[in-house]
Amino acid sequence: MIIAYMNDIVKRYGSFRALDHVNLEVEKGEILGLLGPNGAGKTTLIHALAGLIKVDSGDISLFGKKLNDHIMEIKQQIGLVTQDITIFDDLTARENLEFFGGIYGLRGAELKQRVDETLAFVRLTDRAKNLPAKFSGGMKRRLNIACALVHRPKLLIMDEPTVGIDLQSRNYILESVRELQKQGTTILYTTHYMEEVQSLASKIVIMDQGHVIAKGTLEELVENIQHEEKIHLEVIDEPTSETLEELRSLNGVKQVIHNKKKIQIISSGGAENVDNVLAVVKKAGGVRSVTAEKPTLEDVFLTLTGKTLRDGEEE
Amino acid sequence: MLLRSVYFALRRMLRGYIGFVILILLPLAIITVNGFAIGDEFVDEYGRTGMEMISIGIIIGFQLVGGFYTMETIKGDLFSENRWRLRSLPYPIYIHAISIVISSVLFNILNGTIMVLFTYWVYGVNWGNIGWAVLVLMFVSIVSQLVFLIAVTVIKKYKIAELIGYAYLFLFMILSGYLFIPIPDIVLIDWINRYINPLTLGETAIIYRMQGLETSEMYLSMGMLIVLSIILTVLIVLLGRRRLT
Repeated sequence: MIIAYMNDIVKRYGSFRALDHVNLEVEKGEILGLLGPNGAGKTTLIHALAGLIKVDSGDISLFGKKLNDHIMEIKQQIGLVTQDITIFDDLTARENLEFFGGIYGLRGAELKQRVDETLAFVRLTDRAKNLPAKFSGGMKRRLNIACALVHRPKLLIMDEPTVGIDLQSRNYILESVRELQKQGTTILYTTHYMEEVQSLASKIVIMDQGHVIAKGTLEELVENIQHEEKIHLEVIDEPTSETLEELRSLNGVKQVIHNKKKIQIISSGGAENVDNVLAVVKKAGGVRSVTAEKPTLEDVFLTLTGKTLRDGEEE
Repeated sequence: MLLRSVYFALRRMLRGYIGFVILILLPLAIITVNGFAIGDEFVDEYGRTGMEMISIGIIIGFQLVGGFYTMETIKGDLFSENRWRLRSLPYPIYIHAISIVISSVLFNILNGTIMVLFTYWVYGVNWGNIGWAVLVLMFVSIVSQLVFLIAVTVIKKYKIAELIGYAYLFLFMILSGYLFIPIPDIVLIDWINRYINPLTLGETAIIYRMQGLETSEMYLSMGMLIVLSIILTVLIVLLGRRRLT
């Protein structure tokens, strides 16, 4: 079931098109990973989806309703974890949650219960009465997430929620995201950390220059790129020129590089040459070790955008 | 929703000790130093002692300064990165802006009342009717909060809005004669001080009450403060609509 739908969205800032005919669907219960280099349009897309900015053309629907016609009703069911920490420094952790929970219409015992549960979920119960000014970066990030969770949103939009925090807090946040998905929350997650998307997302969308340039599962994305295949070998006897020539003649092999007993073979995408290569080198004395590099999400990204993901780390 | 928002905005303001220092301790220090420097022998044309003259002027003047609170809070909440969180809520942004103005006014009334009571008990300043004096301070504060709200909302560059805030503050202080700068005796300045300057309007409304002078002048000044509040509210609705919805 699709709960969020963007059709042919265009958003311009002057002559610059931040979103250029973007289509996106988010299915209920999934974690959708959104990747893109600096200026790709990820944050604009999130802001458009959450109703924070008006788009120039196209349709946005959430929970089966048009965003423009039911904006307050839809906002009631969304939680936004902003890229920057957007909590009130002069309210305690509990008061922050009480403020945001109150805006979402929670009152009395229900509000207190939700605040207690949310503080426990982000492990800030013992710091509930403290002002965030005394918190570490990781604790502030957790409170930032808690403020978007207190009303139990159906769709949680997380804009780079782990930027600038220690490994422990980051792992904790990733665990929390998985837990939220188990509880039935649908999550749209943007990050520059490839490993986060690989470990969390059930579907990945890659954006560049305002366009969605690829979407699918990790396996589908990898399959769709024609990426080189690399095989690294360590052989028992140093290869002869005949062995090297035989390797070069294999189907799809583009390059064979050797350094004493180490050989690297680069084949075109889809050649699946491991068996053939092993057959040749076994004949020539045997193999000590073999590794084959499969294309990764990083390769997919690089192939599609011509940039590494880290290029856009500051976004 | 508005009440809840006012409650939390006021709570945030009450936590900031710098606000108390600037809006209570600083004016009380100025009143103490200048009041004693002028001495008890001084009596102005309305029959006020030096301490009374300084107390009234400074306390009203600091109601004008309180507008910076609205400006800073609006900037921090609605024109910084925090705006994305607030805009994602099922909550009209103008409600948040109104709640900040209301809580700033309440915060200023609290500060003003503390100073009025302090000067009454400690320095024996005759405020006439203290309830009336606090009511006047409230309307001076409302005018000031709205002026600063318009500046920060309509002008995109915060630094320029801030400069306009300072210009508003110092212009009216100079025209009121509180910065000891000689003011030429021209009709326009008299007109501004009689109908527009919140400092002189507040001062007239309080002095005429405390000295039992003409009530028509007292009500005119109070009335003008109310009219200015209404005009500024209409202006913020017209000019601030784009950025506060």
